[in-house]
Amino acid sequence: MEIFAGLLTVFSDPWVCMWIVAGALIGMVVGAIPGLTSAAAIAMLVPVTFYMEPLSALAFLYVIGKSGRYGGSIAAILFNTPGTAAAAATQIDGFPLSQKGLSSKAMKVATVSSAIGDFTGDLLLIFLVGFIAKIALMLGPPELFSIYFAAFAVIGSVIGDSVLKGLASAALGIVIAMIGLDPITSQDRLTFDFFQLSGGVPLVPIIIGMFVFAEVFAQLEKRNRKVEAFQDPLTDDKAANRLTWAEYRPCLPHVFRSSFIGAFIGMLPGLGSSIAAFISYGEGKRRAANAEEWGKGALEGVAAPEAANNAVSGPSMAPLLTLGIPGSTIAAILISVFHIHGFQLGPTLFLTSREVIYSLFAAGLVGIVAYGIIGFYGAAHVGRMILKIPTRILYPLIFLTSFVSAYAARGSLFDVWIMIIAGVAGWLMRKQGFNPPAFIISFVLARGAEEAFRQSLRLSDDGLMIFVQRPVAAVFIVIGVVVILMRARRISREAGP
Amino acid sequence: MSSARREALTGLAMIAVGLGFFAASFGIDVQEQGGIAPRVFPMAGALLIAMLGAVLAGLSIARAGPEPEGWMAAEGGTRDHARDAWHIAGLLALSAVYVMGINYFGYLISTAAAAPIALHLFGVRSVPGLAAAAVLCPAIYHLVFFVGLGVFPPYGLWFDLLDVIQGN
Repeated sequence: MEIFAGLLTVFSDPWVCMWIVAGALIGMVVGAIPGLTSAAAIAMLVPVTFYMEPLSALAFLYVIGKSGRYGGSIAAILFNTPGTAAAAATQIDGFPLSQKGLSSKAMKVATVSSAIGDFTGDLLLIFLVGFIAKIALMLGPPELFSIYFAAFAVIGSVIGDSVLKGLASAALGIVIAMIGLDPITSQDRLTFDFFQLSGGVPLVPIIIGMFVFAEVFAQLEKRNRKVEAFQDPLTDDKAANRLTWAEYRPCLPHVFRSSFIGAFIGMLPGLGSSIAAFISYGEGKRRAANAEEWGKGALEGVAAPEAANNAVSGPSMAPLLTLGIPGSTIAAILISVFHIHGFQLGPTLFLTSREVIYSLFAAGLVGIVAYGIIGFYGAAHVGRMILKIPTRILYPLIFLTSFVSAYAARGSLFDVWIMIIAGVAGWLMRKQGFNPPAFIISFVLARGAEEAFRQSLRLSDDGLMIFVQRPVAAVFIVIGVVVILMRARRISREAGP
Repeated sequence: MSSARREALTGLAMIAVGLGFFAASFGIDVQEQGGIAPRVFPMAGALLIAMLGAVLAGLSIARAGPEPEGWMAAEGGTRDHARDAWHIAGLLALSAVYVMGINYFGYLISTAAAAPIALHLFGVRSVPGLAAAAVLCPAIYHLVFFVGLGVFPPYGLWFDLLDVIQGN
């Protein structure tokens, strides 16, 4: 019922509606620009939203995240370069379709599948999140710490190609999060006599640095590389690019299966949409009647990963809202927006700010409709526009914007220095195969994990045994250990005999 | 350089970073009564980085064979890398000078100087375009962030054009 009240709230406020449409458009464009992600756009726009109404701010950024996930498919289909990591699975069949002059049809399939996947994910979120929050209210510090532990293990070892570097990225995030005053004793930790660091390393400049500034460096490196020429999508044969029900119907089983795969993966912290997209693509191909066409331009090969990729969006908010544990990079960025507008994340959020949360879910549903309509009729135009944006002008502007965005968050030039350091670190991390998303999510989780750990030990008469004596805590500790052991086995296999 | 050697160097860098933070963690006082000390999490994280670095370096050294012959012979590639390195160094220097410029001369003058340099680094050579960027970028960013959003602008310590414009 709350969702209907939320929809009413959204539709009764034209400003919220306007921000949702703006978010849908911005997310789609940014997602479609190779190299830029919706996380980067959100990072740059976070300081701007500090000056907006809470619901408008949250809805705007949430919809950018959703639409950006979809927008990645435009670049994957048109330019053979995935706009986001998750869209790499879409590229496998999307670009061959584009080479056949069917780019508009492929983009329509991607749009419809993304919208269905996103809707499925959001509906599951809406119906399950209250239940999860009720369970979360029963968890004490030992259970919370064990969930954090499992999250660190999953984030560090599953995201990215190298387990060692993923875990190291997560560990670095933990160490950097420890900088500042100790939450219990208020002693300075690792501040190196910079009084500005007493309050800790601010999240917004770190995110802008890692996702925006680092990309500027990466693009500067690429600027002399040969640019491939791509066909203008508006020159394709219009009749051949019309999507009919008969063509889309075989995609539906793949879309529904992938939506549930994506929604399930979205609920697990840190796994993210790229894993969901590839698992769904693999599963779809395994079950497909026309498996031999997959990889050569099958519409189902576009539908399956796109549905999974977007189905992650809603459920990835569940651990954030109920436990304060971000399930994705975008969710990690949204934490600062929730905090700045006075929302305390965790199970009590559903007691104190229920209306705003359900209005945010409603905004998500409206956002799906918005990007669905814009994408279905306008993706080709967006693709054409991106072809015309010269990177030599775009990235210097992003460079300048990152400075003013980092400054605007707290009005501090020290934050701009942090953004520069984080940018260089992020660029180097990416070059060496480390994992900036794992770093960011761990950075966000670390303080809560430490607090839960220390509270647990204060509650315990048997020291660390409290994590084994409490069944829920023990289960999550075992999950974390099993994940690490499984990945360690992979390390030894990687190393060879 | 072969990928195994590069990985080994990365592992060594991780060891250095981990040990650096581990050593710095000893500077955290341990005075809390009863509870676990505030240095445990930083130390554990730092130690984990160093250990993972050691594993990476060890595995890479074990796998490393002799350098492939002629790995330095790709002269064009080396030249490209050198040029990229200069551009990256230039952008990094611009970033540092830009922040210092904002600190001493305020946002408008610094952005007017930084915008054309950034565009030039990315390959824009049109003089009217660069001149337009020098005027438009500070004006637009100022209007959006400091006027539109009401963010307090960073005033220069030595001189600020905004003071002159506002007649202060």
